[in-house]
Amino acid sequence: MPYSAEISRLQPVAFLLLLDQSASMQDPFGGAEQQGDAAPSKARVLADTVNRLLQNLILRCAKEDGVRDYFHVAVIGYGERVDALIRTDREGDAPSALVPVSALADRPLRLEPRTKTMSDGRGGTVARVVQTPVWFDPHAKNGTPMCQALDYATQLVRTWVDVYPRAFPPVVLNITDGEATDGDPLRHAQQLRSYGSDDGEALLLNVHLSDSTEPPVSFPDDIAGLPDEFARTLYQMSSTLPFTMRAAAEAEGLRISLDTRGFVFNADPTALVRFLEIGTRPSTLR
Amino acid sequence: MKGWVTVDTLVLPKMGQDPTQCEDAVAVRTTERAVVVAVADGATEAAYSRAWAQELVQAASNLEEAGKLVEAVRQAQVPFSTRLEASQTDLPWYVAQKAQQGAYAALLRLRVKKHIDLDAGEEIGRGGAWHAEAVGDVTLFHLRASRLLRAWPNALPSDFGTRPDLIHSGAAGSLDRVQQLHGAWQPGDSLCLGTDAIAAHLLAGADRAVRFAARPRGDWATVIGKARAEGMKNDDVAFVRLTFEQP
Repeated sequence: MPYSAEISRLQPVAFLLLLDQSASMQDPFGGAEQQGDAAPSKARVLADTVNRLLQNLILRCAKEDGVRDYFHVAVIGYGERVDALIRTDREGDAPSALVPVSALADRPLRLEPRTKTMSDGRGGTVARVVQTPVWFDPHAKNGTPMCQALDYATQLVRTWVDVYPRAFPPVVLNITDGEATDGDPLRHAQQLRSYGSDDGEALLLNVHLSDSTEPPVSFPDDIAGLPDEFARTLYQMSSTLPFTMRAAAEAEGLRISLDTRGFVFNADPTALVRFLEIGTRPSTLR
Repeated sequence: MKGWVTVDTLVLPKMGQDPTQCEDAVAVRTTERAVVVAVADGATEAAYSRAWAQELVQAASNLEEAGKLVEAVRQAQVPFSTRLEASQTDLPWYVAQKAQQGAYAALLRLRVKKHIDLDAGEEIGRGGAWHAEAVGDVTLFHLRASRLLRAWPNALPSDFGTRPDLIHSGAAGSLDRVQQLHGAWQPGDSLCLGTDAIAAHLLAGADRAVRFAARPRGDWATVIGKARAEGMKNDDVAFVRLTFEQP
């Protein structure tokens, strides 16, 4: 059965996050609670969300004796340039935009003390200062070179599946707030998805961040009903969800079918978090 | 003198891992008239799971009476949490956060008692009673005359999901998901306990549980190795067999 390879340190899974850093990411989300200068930009929300995702991916692999490399992660920004936002500089690691989570854990850009409310173990709560890692800061400038970003991801996917031919295939999560300014991304997406491992073709999931107050269209299974051509293109670019991600989506209360695509249109910050949670649940760890 | 019950145990790490990384644990306490067995399965995505699983089985097997799972867990939670709290100095950020999250494990506690004829004041070889308590998916198999009488709390491979009920190491960890079952054993019966991977595998094929339980203890690791190669989940395995001797 495809998409069932067990994830282990010998067969890790690669997550590639493609982040739109175009100028429009300076704007707040549509329908944001705060308005004007007080509203955080989409770039700020995205950076916070992805930094938190990286933290959670590391914590899923962390044991008392260290971090086990079940995951390798690339974060690629596309806007003013197309480039990896994190890189490993650990001695002994091959230089790559795909960074093992143990290296990521050891090399945050900085640790920020943040107060977190947690259980006191006796039925109450207590405020504790937690050292919170940050790997990259928000950036928003120029156009939306999505095709170049997809090509960059394709190169990483090709190299990855040569090294791990039997592993769960790479998962690419593309987060954008607008249309590509460097061509038709559908062809580049199809090219990316044509590579894969023995366990299945690479997965490409897309989320569109909202400028409007329209409710999100989450994980659709039919192109009919999508509001415009841009939404239909992103739908066509997106993979159908493998069963483990369908299970994760159902656990989030979503109605899912065998045709459900890994795609959210008009995502608000909550929908973005849920999209990333589902998209990074390829299988149980071993 | 021949004993009334024989206990065999196996704890096997995931293929490719060191035994010191195994997060399944077993403890057995045997007295003249009773046996208490505890099997725990530490959660893969938590830290300190191995230590927590070991702490739980020790506490669960130390109490001799039936129906003591909750008391045993409460006795384990306080010292474990205290030690974990005390260890939180100069840790990398991710270990500190995992320590604050605490550890999780599934647990099954089985207490088996030999029947006593109170009038005669002696054993008469008629079997006895068992009492099981569980949180999560560690599974009990009751076998008799080459038949599986019952598997509990999970009876089908599809009952094993990725989010079983678990016991948290925190002192206030909820224990409202404890399940209990009573039964009677006869001489010649076997009671087996297995963690999720082996349990799901044994329930997936006709008579697999019967055939596995009938094998010598020394064959188990080899059989599991072959099963893993053929698709059984590569997870830690704990397996215990109690064989009740014929009089």
